[in-house]
Amino acid sequence: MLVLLAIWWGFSALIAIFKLTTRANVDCRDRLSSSAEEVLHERNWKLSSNASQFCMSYVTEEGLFALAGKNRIASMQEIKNMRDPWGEVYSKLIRDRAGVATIVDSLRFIATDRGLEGYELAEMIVSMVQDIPYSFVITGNCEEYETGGRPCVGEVRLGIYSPYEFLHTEMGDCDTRAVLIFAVLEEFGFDPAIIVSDEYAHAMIALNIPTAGDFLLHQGKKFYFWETTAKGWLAGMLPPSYKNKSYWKIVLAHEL
Amino acid sequence: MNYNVAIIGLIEIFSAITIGIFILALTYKLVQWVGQRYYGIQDFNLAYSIFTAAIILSVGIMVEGIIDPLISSFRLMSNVESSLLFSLKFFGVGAMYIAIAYTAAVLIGLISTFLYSKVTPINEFEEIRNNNVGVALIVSSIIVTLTIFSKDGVKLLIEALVPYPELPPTGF
Repeated sequence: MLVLLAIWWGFSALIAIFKLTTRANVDCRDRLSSSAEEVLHERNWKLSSNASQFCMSYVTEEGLFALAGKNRIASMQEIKNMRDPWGEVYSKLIRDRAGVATIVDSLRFIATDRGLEGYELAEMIVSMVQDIPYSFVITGNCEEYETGGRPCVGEVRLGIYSPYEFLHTEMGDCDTRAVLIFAVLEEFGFDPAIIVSDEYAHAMIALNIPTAGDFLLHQGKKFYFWETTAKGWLAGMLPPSYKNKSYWKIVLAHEL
Repeated sequence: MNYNVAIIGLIEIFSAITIGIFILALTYKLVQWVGQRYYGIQDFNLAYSIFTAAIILSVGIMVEGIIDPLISSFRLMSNVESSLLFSLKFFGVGAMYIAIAYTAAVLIGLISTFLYSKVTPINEFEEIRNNNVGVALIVSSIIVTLTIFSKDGVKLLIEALVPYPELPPTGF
């Protein structure tokens, strides 16, 4: 009986300490206000691990959106290996820094203001993107595609948007999100990777950071899976429907 | 220092040690009781010790599979407002996962021993009682092998109970 009480007390003490790290909330809403030339985006999101709330705004321009689209199409015409193009495609899209520059200052301000670093900083960045509702970005016609009522952007070469296009439209699928997160995490000095699975037709981010759960080993480092298409997923949590790790491969890794 | 990561590490260590000690002690006592009650084995001979070791190893392999889902549940449930409710939920979920893994391990032990006794003309438990080490080794190997084969399935079953967030129907 005493042993059971001691175990109970031990777990409760650890849980109480864990909950002490919960931070104060901020009151703000998701809004999108557009004029002829620019769009003001206001985003409000929460961390899943400790319910901290964040608020941020950024502006995108119609002109830069059109330019980002042109740059994306031009860069795709330079792809050499069309059999397995993903690493090359993602690498070219990440080189266009306009999308990252749009949000990185706001994210840096939040990080400094709230004293975020390490895992919490990474979670703040990833959860900001997870909070944007999922949309299909496909090569074909959306009307001929089973979207289950979700928003869809059709006729997009290789079915991927550049980070700037994603931030402007707030419409992105799995690899569109992974590319933006990769670029932002890299900007903050993290060691991210983009992983894809042809079998599951899915892409995710993976991050070399101390945490628990499922990971892929790459050059002796542990890259923890991080699902980006829905809210609430934490690093190291591989959805049960994508559980076979041998179906996943790293196609782009940050080389420190 | 990242306190959340450190606490998750401590929870993982604490869970592993408490579950390990509790489960292994329970299994040892259970095997000892079954041996005495049903097969009249009063003292552990070498063959029965090998058999007991295989059962403990089998339970250990199976229950090890609950640590990851348990930690995932802990991280996902951390949004619950009250610490008391959180710890109650954590204990409830942990007990449920342990029960599933433990039942699976016991069933595998029983099924493998039963199947082996059906396909051979000898009475395995009689041989083990008579300290037939060869029979004990074969029965033990069958138990451990079946456990290794079925571990991933049991783990996936437990993963299905983890309150993961919903996913949209994705596609490249």
